[in-house]
Amino acid sequence: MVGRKHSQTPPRLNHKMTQATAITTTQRAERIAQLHRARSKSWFLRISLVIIAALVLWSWSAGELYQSYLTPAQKQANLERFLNRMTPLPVRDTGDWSLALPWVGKQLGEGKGIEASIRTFSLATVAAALSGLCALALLPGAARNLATSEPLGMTSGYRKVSRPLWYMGNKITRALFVFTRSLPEYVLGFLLISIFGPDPWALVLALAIHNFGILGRLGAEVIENAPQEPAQTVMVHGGGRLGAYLAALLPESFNRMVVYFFYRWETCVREATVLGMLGVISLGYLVVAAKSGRAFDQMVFFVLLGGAIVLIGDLISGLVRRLLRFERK
Amino acid sequence: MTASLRQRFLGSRRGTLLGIGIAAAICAWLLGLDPRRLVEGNSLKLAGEFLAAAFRPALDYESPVDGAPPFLLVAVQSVLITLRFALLAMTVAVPCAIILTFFSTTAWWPNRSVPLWLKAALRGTYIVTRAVIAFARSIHELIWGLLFITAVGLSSEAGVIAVAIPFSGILAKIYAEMLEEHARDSQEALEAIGAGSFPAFVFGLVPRALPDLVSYTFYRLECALRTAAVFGFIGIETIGYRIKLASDEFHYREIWTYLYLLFAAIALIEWWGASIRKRLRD
Repeated sequence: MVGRKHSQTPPRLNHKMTQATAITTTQRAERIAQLHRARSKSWFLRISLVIIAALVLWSWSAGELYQSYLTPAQKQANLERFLNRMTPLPVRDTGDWSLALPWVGKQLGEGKGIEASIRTFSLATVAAALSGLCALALLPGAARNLATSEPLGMTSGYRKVSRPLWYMGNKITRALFVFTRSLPEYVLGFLLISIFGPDPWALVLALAIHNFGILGRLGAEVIENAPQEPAQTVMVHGGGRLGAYLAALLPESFNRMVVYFFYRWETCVREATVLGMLGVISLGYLVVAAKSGRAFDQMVFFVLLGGAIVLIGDLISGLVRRLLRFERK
Repeated sequence: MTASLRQRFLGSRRGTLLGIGIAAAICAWLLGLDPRRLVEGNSLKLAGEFLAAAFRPALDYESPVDGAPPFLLVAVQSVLITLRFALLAMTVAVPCAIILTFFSTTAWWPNRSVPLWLKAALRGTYIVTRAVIAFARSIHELIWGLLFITAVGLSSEAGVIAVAIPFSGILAKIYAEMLEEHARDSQEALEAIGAGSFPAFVFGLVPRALPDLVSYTFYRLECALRTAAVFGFIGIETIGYRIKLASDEFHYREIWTYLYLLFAAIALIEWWGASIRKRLRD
């Protein structure tokens, strides 16, 4: 499969055809055979494909993940009850859909829909800002071009001690990014609540820790790929790593960083809608509360409200990112 | 007008940073965040204990019970269940995402003149598919899970489908973006020598975008692992379930063992994805 994909190199084929005005059938067959021979033959890819197939087979054939004791009849009954109670209460009682609008208003106000939405956005914003700040502070230690004993390819002085130190520092920072990135926000939130109690701090920190790892990794990539010449100029004139970072590399890659920031903010909004399930008011809290009260009409309403919030977050972030991309050109 | 607005608010770096800072401060005030809350009571002591446990993860139960299976075996098994859950969800999500992508991208649309009804039909399916994608991904997988549990009760299928719905939406959105933003040169070359727009798309554009698509799929698999861990909190016995049990008994060292194992699994997937991407690009 991989091989066939690689044999398609149309521009070259096209070029050949313009050079030789007529191409014979045998020549064409030869050319195709030649391309076929030149296909990618990476063993790593082939073995990976086999491993993926084996893993998928294993995951589908290794029995039930979760032993459910519900009979189909019970499931049917559950589903009917859920669907029956999904329509807003006043509408269910009277069959009059004009009562739905005041009901929605009530959910947003008394039902704390608006408050929870604002809190959801706030959680995401504070967390994203906090993680961005921490990531920016650690970036000079994480970017491979800065955190070496020869920053930006420039040699200076005695390096026997500094070389292993910088090497270790760089590896540790990157490992910290990978580790914090691998922790799911929800699990972090749960653990932090067991430490700090049900305080918004627990959720903010949970979001911030995970996103710190992601923003750190993305930021390091941006710094490594930014044009190096201005930073080298700073260093040639006697600046240090920090000067090169703050005065040349950071301004150069600022827009890309802001793009990434908004991309993570958007994901934070999405995660913040569910973190409330841990017991601090945000949308997830309202969903769980409605579920345990068997008020399925409210539950569905808050789920949809959560969806709307995520879409609004996407729109804002998409708009900002498009504006920034235009600017870069 | 827009150019100057853009320059004033987004072009100036100081303005952007200041804006983000002010927004964050207002939001912190709205949330009632108080730094003193972080050091109140015994939370500092607990945080210290928790962090100290990171340096000596448990290799056995902290309070062993006779007859329980060995700790490390249980831990590794829970990682395998997490991996299985993630793989199940991804094998459902990826084919769905491919179908959704196909109908939500304009990249394979014929650019020759086509009958009006065909144009309308294409445009119609495009809009409907985009709406389906937006709906699927705007609701978080955990909330899908909660909805399924309420509607039919917890089962493996419900869990897998709950993850697969938003994941196929996200995958389809990103796939479509990648295909549309990719360089079109090969596709155009194929069309220039007489290929139809659909074969040109399949053989000219998709293979070129393949490294990006594959590496994004691996990133999503990584996310699926994290999500699978979280689903332990609503009953499926993945690693999150173990973390919850250990946390209920304040067994911090056991928690760190689970966290390190989850980290190892995710780091492995990430390394694998990066290696495949590198070789696909060559």
